[in-house]
Amino acid sequence: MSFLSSFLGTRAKSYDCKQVGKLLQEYLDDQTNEAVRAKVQAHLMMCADCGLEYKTFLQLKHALADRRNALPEDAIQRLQQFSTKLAEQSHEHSDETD
Amino acid sequence: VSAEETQEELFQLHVVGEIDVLYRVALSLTPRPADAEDLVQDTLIRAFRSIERFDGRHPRAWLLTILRNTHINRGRRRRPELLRDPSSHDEVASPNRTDSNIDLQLDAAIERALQQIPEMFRQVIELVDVGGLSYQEAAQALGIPAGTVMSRLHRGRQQLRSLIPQPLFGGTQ
Repeated sequence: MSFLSSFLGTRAKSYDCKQVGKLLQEYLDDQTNEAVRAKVQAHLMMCADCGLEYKTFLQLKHALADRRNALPEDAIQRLQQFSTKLAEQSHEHSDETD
Repeated sequence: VSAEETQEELFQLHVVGEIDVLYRVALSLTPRPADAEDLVQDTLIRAFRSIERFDGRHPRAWLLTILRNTHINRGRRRRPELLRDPSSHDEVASPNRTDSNIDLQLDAAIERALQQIPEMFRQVIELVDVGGLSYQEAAQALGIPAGTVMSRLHRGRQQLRSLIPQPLFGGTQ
């Protein structure tokens, strides 16, 4: 019984390359449920081609995330100053009308 | 506490911390940094005016909806936008990159590839992968279903990958 359960469990965890290919991006974004995640993970550990594909996309995703620091600070500062003035002017206006 | 002070406090609480996100999203919607800045300013004004009617839930989603509506309204008043000007993009993308771990060659290849893929794919990549928005937030910003964001993102990444030489990916091949 335990052998059968174990065998069925192993079978249930296996995905082929085509299935993993379809799910890879969702896996990358952590959008899969736990069961699917485990099956994809199991395949990636065994399949060199899919493992390489995963590493490539993971590196691309990280490289894109690294671009997040590229916003020009001067523009952000101007917008923050603008929001401060916006609040101040509204306050001054309300004082005048009181 | 007066009504105006409450309005200021709410604005500070819900809006000011999202300026970075708003500007990044604006940059993905409009090709010129100066226009993106104007768009965020208009969005801030609208947000300030309506902050007291905001229920306080999901401020980013609320702001992204205001940003999108503001962008649409501005588009109606102005001539159609020109195609993205690569030089204006450089102005935004290049300053003060300090992360020493960045693979410069890969980064340059990504920069070129981003200019080559269709706008609808580039937008979602910039919002989700670069900007760190969730699928749902990107959907809110673009006015499209989250499922469409996901499919565009996946196709966009595939296109980027096909445009970048494999050896640049950490010598994985």
